Amino acid sequence: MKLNFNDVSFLKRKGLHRGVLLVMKITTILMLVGCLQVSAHVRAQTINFNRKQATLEEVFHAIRKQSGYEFLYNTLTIKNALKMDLRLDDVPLLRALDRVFAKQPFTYRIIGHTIVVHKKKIEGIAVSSASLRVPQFIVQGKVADPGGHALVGVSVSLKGTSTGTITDGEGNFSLTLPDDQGTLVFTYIGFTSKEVAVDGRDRIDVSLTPSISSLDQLVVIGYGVQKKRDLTGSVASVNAEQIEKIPVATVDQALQGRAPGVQITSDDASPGAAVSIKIRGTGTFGDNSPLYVVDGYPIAGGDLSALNPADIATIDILKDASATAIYGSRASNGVVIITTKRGNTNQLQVSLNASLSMQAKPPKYDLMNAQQFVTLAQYVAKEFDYPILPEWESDPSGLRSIDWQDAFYQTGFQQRYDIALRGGSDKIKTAFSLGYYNRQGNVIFSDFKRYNASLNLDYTPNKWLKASTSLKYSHFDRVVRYGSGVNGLANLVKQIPTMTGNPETDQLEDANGNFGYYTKGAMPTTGMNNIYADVAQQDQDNPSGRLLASGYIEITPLEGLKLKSNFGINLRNHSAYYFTPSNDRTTPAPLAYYSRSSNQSSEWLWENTVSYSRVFGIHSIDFVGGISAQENTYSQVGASGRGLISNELRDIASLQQGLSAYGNQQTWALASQFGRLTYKLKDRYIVTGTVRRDGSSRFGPGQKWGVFPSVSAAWVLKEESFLSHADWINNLKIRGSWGQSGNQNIALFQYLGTYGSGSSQNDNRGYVFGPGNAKVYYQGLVLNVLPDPGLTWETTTQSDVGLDASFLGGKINFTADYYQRVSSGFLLNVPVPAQTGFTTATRNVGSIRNRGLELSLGYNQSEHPFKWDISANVTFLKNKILSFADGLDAIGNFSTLNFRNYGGSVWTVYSQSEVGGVVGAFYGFKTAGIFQDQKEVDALNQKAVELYGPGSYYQVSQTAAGDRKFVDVNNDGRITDDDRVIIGSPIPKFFGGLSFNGSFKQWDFSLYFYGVYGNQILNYMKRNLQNFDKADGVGLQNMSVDYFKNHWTAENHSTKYPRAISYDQNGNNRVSDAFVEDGSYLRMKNLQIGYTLPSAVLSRLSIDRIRIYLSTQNLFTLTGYSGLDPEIGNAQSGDVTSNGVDVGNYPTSHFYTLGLNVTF
Amino acid sequence: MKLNKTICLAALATMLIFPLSCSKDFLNQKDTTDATEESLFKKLDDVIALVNAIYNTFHDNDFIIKALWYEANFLTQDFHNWGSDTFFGTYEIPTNFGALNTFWIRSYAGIARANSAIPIIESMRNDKILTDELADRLKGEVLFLRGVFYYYLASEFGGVPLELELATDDGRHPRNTQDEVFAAVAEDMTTAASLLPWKEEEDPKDIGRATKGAALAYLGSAQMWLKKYDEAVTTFKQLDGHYQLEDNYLDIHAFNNQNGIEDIFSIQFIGQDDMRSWASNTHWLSTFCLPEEISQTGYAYADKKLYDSFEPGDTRKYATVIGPGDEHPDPAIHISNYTLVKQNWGGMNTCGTLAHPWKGTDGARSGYYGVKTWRDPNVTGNPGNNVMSSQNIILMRFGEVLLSEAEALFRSGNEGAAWDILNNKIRKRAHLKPTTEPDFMAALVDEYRHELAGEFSFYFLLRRAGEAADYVKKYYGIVIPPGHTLMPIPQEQIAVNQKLVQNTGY
Repeated sequence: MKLNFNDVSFLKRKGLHRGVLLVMKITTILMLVGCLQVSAHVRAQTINFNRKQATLEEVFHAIRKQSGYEFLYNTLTIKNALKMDLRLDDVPLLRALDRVFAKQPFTYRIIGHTIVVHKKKIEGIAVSSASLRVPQFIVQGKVADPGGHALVGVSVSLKGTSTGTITDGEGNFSLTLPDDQGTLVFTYIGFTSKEVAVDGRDRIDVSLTPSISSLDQLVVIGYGVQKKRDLTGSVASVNAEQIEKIPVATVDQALQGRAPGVQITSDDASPGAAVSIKIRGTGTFGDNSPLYVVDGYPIAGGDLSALNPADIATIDILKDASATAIYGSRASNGVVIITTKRGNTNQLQVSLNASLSMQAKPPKYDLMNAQQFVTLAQYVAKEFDYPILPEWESDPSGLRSIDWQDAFYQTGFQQRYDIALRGGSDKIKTAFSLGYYNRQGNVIFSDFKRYNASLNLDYTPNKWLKASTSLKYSHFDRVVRYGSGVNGLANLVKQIPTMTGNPETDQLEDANGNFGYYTKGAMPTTGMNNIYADVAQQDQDNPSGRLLASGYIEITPLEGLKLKSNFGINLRNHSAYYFTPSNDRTTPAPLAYYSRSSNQSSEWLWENTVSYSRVFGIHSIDFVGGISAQENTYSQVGASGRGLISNELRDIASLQQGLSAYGNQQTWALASQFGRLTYKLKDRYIVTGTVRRDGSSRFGPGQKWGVFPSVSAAWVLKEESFLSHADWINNLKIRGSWGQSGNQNIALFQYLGTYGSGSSQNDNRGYVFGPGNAKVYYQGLVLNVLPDPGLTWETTTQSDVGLDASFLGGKINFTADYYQRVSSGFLLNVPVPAQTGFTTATRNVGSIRNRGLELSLGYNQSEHPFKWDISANVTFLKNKILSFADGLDAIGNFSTLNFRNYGGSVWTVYSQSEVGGVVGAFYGFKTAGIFQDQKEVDALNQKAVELYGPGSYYQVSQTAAGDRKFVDVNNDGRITDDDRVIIGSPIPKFFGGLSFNGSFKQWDFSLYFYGVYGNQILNYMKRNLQNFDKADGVGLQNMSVDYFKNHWTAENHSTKYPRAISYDQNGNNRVSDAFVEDGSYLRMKNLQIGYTLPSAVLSRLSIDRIRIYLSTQNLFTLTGYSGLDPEIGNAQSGDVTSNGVDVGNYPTSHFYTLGLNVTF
Repeated sequence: MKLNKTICLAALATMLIFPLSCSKDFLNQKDTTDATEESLFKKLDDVIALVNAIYNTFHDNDFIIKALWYEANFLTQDFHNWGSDTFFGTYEIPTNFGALNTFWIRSYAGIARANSAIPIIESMRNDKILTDELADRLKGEVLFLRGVFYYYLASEFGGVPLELELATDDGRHPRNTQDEVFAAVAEDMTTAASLLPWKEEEDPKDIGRATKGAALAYLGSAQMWLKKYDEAVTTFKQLDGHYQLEDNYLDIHAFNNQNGIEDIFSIQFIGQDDMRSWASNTHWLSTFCLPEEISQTGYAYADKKLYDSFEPGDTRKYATVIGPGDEHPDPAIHISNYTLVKQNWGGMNTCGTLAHPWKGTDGARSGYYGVKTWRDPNVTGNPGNNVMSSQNIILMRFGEVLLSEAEALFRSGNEGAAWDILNNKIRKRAHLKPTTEPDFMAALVDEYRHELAGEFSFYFLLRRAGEAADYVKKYYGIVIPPGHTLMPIPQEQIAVNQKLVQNTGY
């Protein structure tokens, strides 16, 4: 601080005498991260200022600089000035001065361009006498929020007087009272005022509760907001605080277990991987993902991995038709509305978040080592005349064991940094943020990097005009060289644990960079290769960019009437390459392969809405109506081929063989009209009607338009006279709704019969004519799809009844919903009999019903120093297929898990969705243990011969003691496909989350559990762990130590594991209930302990808050499931008929995170 | 407030104009990736391409190898599988054997392509874009191909659903009987034969297309299945003078004699820059069947019983199967030239030796290998760059027609003419004297075997003649489980169409 008493030039000019002190101070208002500079503008007629605990001199200085007015005052006079939290956003000078002096014991007068400061004159005798009385009592204390965070700038006054103060940077106040009686009034914007009797205490600590009680919370409902109190639909909300508690990479992961009715499952745990979200059950065989609306922009083909969770303010999940109908044709799977953080008036807040995480190595299966494997191979060779490698025939003790899991697993590492600046004035509010996220997975060569930048700008130049802009850019790059699935990480358990094909090394990679390989051309090692070498040598990159930019202008010509025009663009681009070098580790020796692809999606949206709300006495109405148009063009280009003269090249033009290329574009468009009217009578009877009409280019002439109506009503019982005196009830509301919404998510132009000639040499439709020595290839032309000109929306009709209640001053909150959701004519790329010439066709067929009960209950306690809240939610769900097409009672799984096309006991059909059953029910044989002796087999075979003649068997010709026995369900004396039945369901009976948050003084902690109950898992990995012959072809494969030690032999009559054989002709490991397990689990998803540094330490650094936390995710899981992780999504992403099949997912394990939050 | 109102009115006007300016075309997007019927079939090339694409159905390696060649040969036990498809040895073909599903899917894809082409051809004929002559030929090709797909479907599965028009429903139709299917084949072939030109009338650039002769050959065969032996005789007779037996049996499958005089219908292939990897226009049947010692594959090998079953002097023997100590009979093929033989076997020129038969690294094969699939001199197998072959695959040839005709003659009471074909045409060409076997059917089965083993029809002819079970029992001592002379309807097809009833026994 620098005071200049000798500014001669000023004195001369103004002609003022010495002794008048001129204060000058040069301040740089903000210097942030060394790069951001805000300079105050000179001589404005409005003042901007934002500082906590500012001294009067600092304020004067700022005003002088900005307005040109000088201050004249006595330094002794202003010695008693109170520090103040002052925020002025473009405030006119006079109003600014009023605010500056409002709480000071001074006032001012303007003479010319000088502001003269003097002591307040005492007006009125009563006041005068009171304030002139000698102070007799000093009371001190601290004001905090329910979380224990200090509240700064809370006004503390003695009731009925002008005596008062405000709390300082640590929330402390000190007030001098005339005596030790009276009542203190604490007021603070956004919090409920509180009155506390002094009652002789000299220390009064107060906790203020946010005045926006949960009932007054605004919920984003699509083209508008509504108070939670007035909601007639079923909406669940998740706020930033809940999201921030878990250091996850993507927004959707943070939602797991947070909202009833929303089931979130990771398909795999690799960095940046997608998760599947189902709102209120599996409603379709097609795409079950909800519509995402980010800052008012509906994003087609929702992909949240680009969003930075730190930017999210709230997530509102619209569940019932009343809530979703406003999004019409895209809303049948629910709508997730994401709102990002925006700037607030009167404060500039800079927040920095950083966290570092370590992820433990994943859990492993206990697999046979080289010696155990070879021992078993020797047994099989002897027993079945199976040809094994010469080096396996002798003593195996010298063979090197390779632990494939160790080779692929590593300790993961994750870093996350965010910086955000949010603030503004009455007219302009901005929020700016940068984010960086980097995760190196716990499998080698898997990582995800993301860079985010976002800017939200709100401009309100006057009362009737408002403009708002949201810009979000992200760049991300996900590389997972070896991922989930039967062709990926599932191989780790199957890889033979010794590798002797390369004479130079028997290691994965030796010190000289030589890679080992398996013996070529030998039966036992057929199809085995050094996948470590493959993965280590490949080269790929998948960078993507996303820009979501939207803005609106809103005009309020009359009170309550708003006209809004919203325009947005959504650009996505992706550019990738993939390269594998040539190598000679397998035969045929693969050539180098190179592919490059890029695609771009450009989309625009234009929406114009009119909204009107007005209260007429006891009636109030709220209307919004509008029109919308959206258009998307997706274009792609790519090429690939084999053979490069050097492994250093990455060049399409240099490819020597098998070049194939593609490049095309497609456009879709959506045009809509919509409206919603809410009528409220006496704050207790609320009715809402919604309708949307959508036209889509995805459907053919006459089928383009669909109408989606809904109605709902709520009755706020609490407002009725019979409950108005029940003080313990704060809110009691019952709701009911009915409505329809649609799903249009199918590939484009399915209504058209289009023709194509095949895309590449490997997939052409042409043929060869001409004599042997002069053959010529001629183009072909083929009908691509079985067209259905009548193709139209899938319609979901949903009814919902709900109850919202709040008790004991809002301490207990309870919500319940029961719903029925019937999707009919669902758009299904339905497997059609190949007799049509096609294997699938997009059709409107069938009907699925989901019924569910959703409960959530919360309790919070914020009056003691130990403050805590607990909340739990649970969802009970029943899924039932009501019908398919005529003559179709069931459909099998759509994806065959990419098994190779070999015979034997492959899992081609493993799920069956039957009318009356659930979607994706597991389908296979029932087992009756293991045949313990040959006599039993022979007797059954004899019976089959009697029934069906010579050559007949109960199971197969080679069934013997030690093989698995299957149940003859239809009692026809033999095992055929007809003996397959439903053997399990992937759909849980219920699932839910439980979270607990607490704080005590500087400490805070949170705890979060997620669990599912009553579903089964079809464990394909378990089958691999007891299959000695290669499950998908010729050769042998590794398996578990447990099998090795405990399988059936003539001596050891195991009832658990069948005998070891060289070829599973009996189909011991076909799909059966032997691989169906209970999939229930309870997982501690998150445990976090935080410490906030005492503000005394911070105030010197001008920092508001520093919090350090430690957290751990997935610390433990209670489950009976034998696999590595019971959280199993769809085996093939997006395919609900492959749900709950464990095909060796990218593993999860616990994270340990150290994090830092700083606000200043 | 005035300005305020002006702006508001302007905004309202914009909002109202917007939906009007949003013209109808906004929701009528054009598919620029694939052509629609509207834009096609105004010119000749389109419909020719449409018909070409029906032939394209054959271009699938699983279809050719695992769904046709396997069944024609593994089910007779004259050939066996090395690998994971060994279940043919006990006739326990899994209902989820992928190749059968592929066979089903592709056959019906071909049938649908054919069904979709017929109305287009007719409408283009009406629009005078097609001359009657070309329209007839194209329609003949379409019907012929549809008939061929049904012919093989019924040969393997028995009755299958008959789809004779492009599906307008979801195609969940039940199976027709085997006879109904062959009757439909006969009908298609009859019409096709009336529309198509003879092979010799064909423009050489059209070689490979269906001909009248091909249609008659399949018509006669279908009539055999229908036990209409008189009609079959008449049908087969029409081929006389249009086709001949090769003088030298070895020439039938010679690489340099593709589309030869005996060839009635072949699947045509063509070479391309990449002969290492699977592609549409090449096949790997050849590599598949080569000894592992040459190709590192050897996934199919012959049974020694087949080798031993040839009469001395039968010129078909070494053109069908060779074993330890035998040279390759084709002058274009030198075993000693294969890279691996040079490396590991000192460049010897025989298919292994008696001392060291080529049983593969693991010794799991017989040492005997088919020759008919080993005729493309360019194919080297895995170590080299030529894994795939461009050699045509003969599905129907005159030798088979003559044997069928002999059977038809026998069954229609003309045993003398039947013996004449057997002894004086088929056996004579093989440099054999008339057979000493007195029982005609026994003699015929032997000739079917020695004439057609390793090709694409032997097992089906056995089943047609009702001899399959006896043959396998007689020569290999295996009892085919009841019902397992037919292949199982693919599990996945039953899963989507419960009206399909599985063959008994599966």
